[in-house]
Amino acid sequence: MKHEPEQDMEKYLREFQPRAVRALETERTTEPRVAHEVARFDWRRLAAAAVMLFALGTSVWFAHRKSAEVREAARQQDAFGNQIRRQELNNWQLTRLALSDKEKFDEVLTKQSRESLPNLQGEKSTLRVLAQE
Amino acid sequence: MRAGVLLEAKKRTAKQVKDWYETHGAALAAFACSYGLDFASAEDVVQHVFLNLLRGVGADLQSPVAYFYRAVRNGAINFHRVRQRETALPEGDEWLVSRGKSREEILAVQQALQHLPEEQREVVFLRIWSGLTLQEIAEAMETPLNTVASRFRYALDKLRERLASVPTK
Repeated sequence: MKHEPEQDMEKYLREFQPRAVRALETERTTEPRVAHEVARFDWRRLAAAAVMLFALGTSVWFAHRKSAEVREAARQQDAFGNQIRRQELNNWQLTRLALSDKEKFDEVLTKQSRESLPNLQGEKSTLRVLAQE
Repeated sequence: MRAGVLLEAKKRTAKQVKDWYETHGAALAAFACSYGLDFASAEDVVQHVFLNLLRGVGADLQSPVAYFYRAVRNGAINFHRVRQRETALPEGDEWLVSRGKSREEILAVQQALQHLPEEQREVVFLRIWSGLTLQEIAEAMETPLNTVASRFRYALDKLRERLASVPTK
């Protein structure tokens, strides 16, 4: 139970009101808020950019690696083709050619047989010479 | 605890902060003035507290009103520190208004409030102009109810003594 003088003083104080304040200037918050948002977005963008850069770098590296492999395979193919053209194939290469390209193999064999076996065609063929004798 | 506060801060809407400002802004500005700030500076301090709330700054809003008073008190003290000023209120600056009361009487009440010890002054403001019960003040200030009641009683006694010689209307 409050004493009467206390109640009187409380009642007296309530006769006074605090002076009104100006409205809350919320527009002031816009700038720091935007700055805050921008700062937050910067981190996100930075992270996204890093991920994209990594993905791009990886794909470029893979593509480069693949094309290098293709180039190497093509180079080897070319070298093999040159060997075939020059008829400088050993047994292993001939086996490989027989398995991969039969027509080419036949062609190579025909060419090689012409060089190593007696010539049986043409005017100066071995067969014709023997027949004349 | 901290996570809870952050969650609370996220939930806080601009409307809620504006409502708090409308309810307590004037009392808080008067409270800042009781630390010797001129009214315009007191308004700035209060605005700063609420704008920070809008930006998500500010914690322990389980007792928002207690937080406002603490923040404004700190703001007022910092204001003095920054400005390197003494707590001399510019003469004639009124931060209380009352219909039918003379200017002298208003200034006398302001001065009497300024002379109260901090804890007592805070209880008076919370009780009279922020409309909290003594129980709510005790909870907000995390102080026993008896202590709060004593502070309020002592404050009223001191005010009555100081204002005894002031002619009232």
